[in-house]
Amino acid sequence: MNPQEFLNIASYLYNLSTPQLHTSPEIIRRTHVNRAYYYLYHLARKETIAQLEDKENFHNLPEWLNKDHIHLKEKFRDHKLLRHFYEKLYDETNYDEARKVHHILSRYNIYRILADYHIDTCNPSIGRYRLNFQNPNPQNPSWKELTPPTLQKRGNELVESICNLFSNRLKNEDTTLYTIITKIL
Amino acid sequence: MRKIINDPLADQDIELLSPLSQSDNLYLIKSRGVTRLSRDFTALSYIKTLLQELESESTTNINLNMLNLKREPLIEELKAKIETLLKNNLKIAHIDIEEFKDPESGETQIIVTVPLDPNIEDPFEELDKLHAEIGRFDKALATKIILLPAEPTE
Repeated sequence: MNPQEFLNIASYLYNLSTPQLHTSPEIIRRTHVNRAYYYLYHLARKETIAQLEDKENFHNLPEWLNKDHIHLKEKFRDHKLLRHFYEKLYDETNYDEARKVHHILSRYNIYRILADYHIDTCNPSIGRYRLNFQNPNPQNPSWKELTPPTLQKRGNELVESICNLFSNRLKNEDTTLYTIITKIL
Repeated sequence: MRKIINDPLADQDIELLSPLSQSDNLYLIKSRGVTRLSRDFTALSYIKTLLQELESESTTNINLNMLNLKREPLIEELKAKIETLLKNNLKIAHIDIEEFKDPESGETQIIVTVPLDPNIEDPFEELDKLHAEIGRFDKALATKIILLPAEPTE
């Protein structure tokens, strides 16, 4: 399945004016936020694996990882590990694209945690940050980041950053990547 | 007490050398030949207690002097650093700093809420620029914090 489908369902839920069946507007919004995060996570996971396994970028890396029984598809099902990979990459290489990918994933993950776990209140907060699932104010910065066009834009930024990182900046840096991957996996 | 547990991050068995305290996620572990504390911001404050506990463990065979403890900064240290950096270097006042625990990964993250101009269309873009600036000053700090827009006061 294509990660785009997560965005499609998130957009559908965002635009759903009359909840169906016995659902409340609050659960629709929470599910919208949850699907929005999964769109970005799956997009990042898919693109990362594709880039790292691309022989145009790396001649030896896929073979080295295979020999070590490191299967990226399996490893990057762990959300924390995918974030940790980009954190480490930024730490070791200093490339801003790695920081950005880590920041996007971490940030939207916070929204998802609020949507999925903080259900005792319809207006969960962290400090002065709030995400009101019952009466959202569209002018509130939180919701501006979750509109379908903004999510699409964020997805494009993720893909662009990942592509630039591996097919440009780190191209042929098999040893650097191998060292980082084996350190964190 | 010795126990073998699986570390999903290390993808290999690691030795749990001691259940170090009642607090969450706090273990002294041995992985890839290195003895260290589990990844937890709060770990440092427990080191003393842990070492005392370990010293009384007759079954442990690790040499405490050889412990390679990976020091994670205390959350309070990080908060002070963030405040100094944002207020003094980046001239941003009125920030709030909160700890936030991910219920799935167990990670503690630091959330910094920053007030933004309400007319900004995409708050992420604004805050990402700021995050990149923080990274230029202190790379390690940037990956420890997440910037979120503060709710505007009505």
